[in-house]
Amino acid sequence: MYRRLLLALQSATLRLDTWVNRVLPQDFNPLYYTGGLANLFLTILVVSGILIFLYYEPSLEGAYASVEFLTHHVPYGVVFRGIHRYAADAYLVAILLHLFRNWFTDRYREARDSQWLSGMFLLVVSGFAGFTGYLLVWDERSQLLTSLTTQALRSVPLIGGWLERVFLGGPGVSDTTLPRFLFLHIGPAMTLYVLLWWHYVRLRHPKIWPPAVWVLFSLGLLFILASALPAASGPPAQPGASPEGFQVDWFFLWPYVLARWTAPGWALALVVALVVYGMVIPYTLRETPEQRGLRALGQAVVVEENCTGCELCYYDCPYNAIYMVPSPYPGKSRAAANRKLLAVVVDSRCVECGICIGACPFEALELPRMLDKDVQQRIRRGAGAAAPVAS
Amino acid sequence: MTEDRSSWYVALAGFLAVLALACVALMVYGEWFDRRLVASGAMGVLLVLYAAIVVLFRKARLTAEE
Ligand code: HEM
Ligand code: SF4
Ligand code: SF4
Repeated sequence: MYRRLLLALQSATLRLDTWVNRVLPQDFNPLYYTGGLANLFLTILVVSGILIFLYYEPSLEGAYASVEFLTHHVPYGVVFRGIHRYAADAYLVAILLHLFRNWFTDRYREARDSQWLSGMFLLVVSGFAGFTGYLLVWDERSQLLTSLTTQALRSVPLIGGWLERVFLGGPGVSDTTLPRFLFLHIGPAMTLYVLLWWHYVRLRHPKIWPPAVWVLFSLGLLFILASALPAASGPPAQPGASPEGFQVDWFFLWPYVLARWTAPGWALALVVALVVYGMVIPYTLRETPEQRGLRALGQAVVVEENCTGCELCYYDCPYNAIYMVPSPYPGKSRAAANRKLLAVVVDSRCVECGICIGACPFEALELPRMLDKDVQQRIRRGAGAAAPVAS
Repeated sequence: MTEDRSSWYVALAGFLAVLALACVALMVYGEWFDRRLVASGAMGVLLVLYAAIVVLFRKARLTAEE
């Protein structure tokens, strides 16, 4: 059932691609750059965030006034604030498109689980940074979100009280709270770059940026939104008050909408359950190695005598599993005698796909359990190359 | 047929370029008369128009895939 659903979603995704390709030149299809678009919006967030940060005052008395000052008195301050807010929404849309696309096009299992897992961490950390951004304004909405969050944290068994103190920077809302919120906004945002390193490390040629046309369009759209629907604060937070009015950006803050309907603890439990489910998605379809098309051919091995250091394998390995190092000694073959570089396979990254074997024009790479003679023998036996090989 | 379309795409791109110029005028106006949201909105429209022009040029085959 699940498998059939995934297949249907895959064909719908591909049909959508085809349809977009009819309207736009194929290399402009934004659906091919969902990761790059997320990265673009993240960059816009960082740049606009730094500008806002220059004016922000993290204190109970000063925070609201400093955001108001930025909005109404700094030239184009309201535009930067709007760009920061709408870029956060666009970023989330891009991440979700990226997530579903990779899920539906089956790019998340086996050796791609590290991208999926790092992606889930990116999603969680991004969502958290987005939410703490809403706290910084210190208007009624911030106050309400703070109170719902502390209720949810308090309901966590054993460590609830401790979590609440960590969140508020003390036993209750005090002068240390807003500096803490500021840290909880910027700290996770910086962590995203460490996670992105993990996300990219096993990808060869990841498309980190969308084509220029989408950079122009996205920036333009953000400017239009920031100007047509200027970002504004709610009424300022009142010490000791418990605001009731609840105007949230449900798209970012849906757990809080849920928290209002049920109880904050339940909303937190649901978020945790969704994240845990997200993390196990790559391992949900249990299949035998045969069903998965695994051939157990052994990691690629460089035949050092033949390697000329031409780097073709290095460019072609989709898993970034080949490094070029300065050649410690000359090769044996004529072509390899004067090489400057030598290819080295990083075993822990190699998935035994054999692409580098096809890339190497000098017979300098082998899959140890699939040597040339095996292939020839197979062809003689009339067996297809994709059939499983007993090791 | 393709030929016809190409010239149509170029004509449309030309029209968008004129609109883009109008946006530049609006940006100057907005900045001059302290209507900054007009200026930044015009800047947004300008960027979107540029994006559309890039697509139209490609469709008209004036540019090629990188
Ligand atoms: C900050 C958010 C993220 C950024 C900036 C980002 C960026 C990228 C980029 C640039 C690529 C390579 C090109 C591409 O396939 O588009 C990529 C690949 C990938 N991402 Fe993300 N990503 C993010 C979040 C996520 C999330 C939330 C998931 C899923 C849970 C995810 C799963 C993947 C997977 C599975 C691949 C490998 C795709 C392949 O094999 O081609 N990413 N990401
Ligand atoms: S077999 Fe070659 S191309 Fe495939 S992952 Fe290993 S080193 Fe990379
Ligand atoms: S393609 Fe072959 S010859 Fe070229 S660097 Fe790789 S292993 Fe060496």
